[in-house]
Amino acid sequence: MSALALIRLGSRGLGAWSQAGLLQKAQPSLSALVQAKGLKVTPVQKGRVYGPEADNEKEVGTKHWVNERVIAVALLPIIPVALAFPNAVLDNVLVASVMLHTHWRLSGVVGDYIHGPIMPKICKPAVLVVSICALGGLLYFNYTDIGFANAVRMIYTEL
Amino acid sequence: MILDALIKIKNEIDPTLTFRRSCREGICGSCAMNINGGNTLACLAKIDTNTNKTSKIYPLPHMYVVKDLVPDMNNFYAQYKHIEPYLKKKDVQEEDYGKVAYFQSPEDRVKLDGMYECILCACCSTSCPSYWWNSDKYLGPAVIMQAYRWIMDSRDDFGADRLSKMNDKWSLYKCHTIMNCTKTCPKGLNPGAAVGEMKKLLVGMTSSGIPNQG
Repeated sequence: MSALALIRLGSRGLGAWSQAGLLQKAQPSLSALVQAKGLKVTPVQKGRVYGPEADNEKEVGTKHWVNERVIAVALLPIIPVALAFPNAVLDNVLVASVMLHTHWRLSGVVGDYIHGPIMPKICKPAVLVVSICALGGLLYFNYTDIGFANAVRMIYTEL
Repeated sequence: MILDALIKIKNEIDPTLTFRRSCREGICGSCAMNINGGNTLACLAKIDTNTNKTSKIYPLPHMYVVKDLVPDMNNFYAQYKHIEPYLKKKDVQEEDYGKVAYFQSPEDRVKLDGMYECILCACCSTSCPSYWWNSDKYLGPAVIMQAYRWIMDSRDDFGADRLSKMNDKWSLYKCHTIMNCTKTCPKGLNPGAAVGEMKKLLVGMTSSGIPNQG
């Protein structure tokens, strides 16, 4: 039993020993060692967080993911049907769902590739503005011109 | 194996060459590195028999490098700690730990196949582009698979809490199903499937472990 206690002391008591001054000379601090030997130690990265909890990024991800899948799957029938039967309703459905899909994916690209303290704050609203403008433009085209589906058909027939 | 070559280089040519290694048989995960363009364990990677060709060896991609082939694993380990990779019981006091064995049916045990074999070498996480760009917030395939492993453990009482911890924009959903993780795993595991199964659980479907085991 006493041997066991000694082993436990040996394994976990190092800190206590050095606090008591026994190992002060044998255990120079890491920073002193680094200075003396001129060693290079990888610094702890500033702003590095460990897991999302530390990031105030807590938001429900599943709902968004499901919405994304629903639109992505819905596009599979919407695109051919809208192109096969051009009409005002299907044109607007197609334009809206395509733009929603594109906006989410573009936001994903920004989340992946745009880093730093300032750029994401500029790029995320910029994507939103671009998406809204594109949607507005396409809806305007649907109302005032031949409609999105007819325009796509023209690319293959008239050009 | 490549590891033998590295040891020979360190012994005979350049003693300053620095790399991690321990078991030399693919069970410790220390010697994970990028060999000829793919993440794998140096001790399991054969040396090309065509000696005219050069083998290129790099540290694990997109990791902070301490020296030569030694990457800084602090972030990876912190993420592993974040998912609490240990048995958690409700209504059990600390002084009662170890007094009762928690039995598991063979069926429940089978659900852990394909996950408990993971040696946390980080080959999969560091092959994942999503992890390269967002390793501060995205947990990465290795850690996600271990989170799923504890969710699937019939003896653990905190499955729902563990699951809700993954339900944010970054931890799990930054996976873009690129599947580099599954392709590169030197143990032949399928972390990509763990991500898929976790998503199934999060939308309320049932899941019974990594599919197609054994």
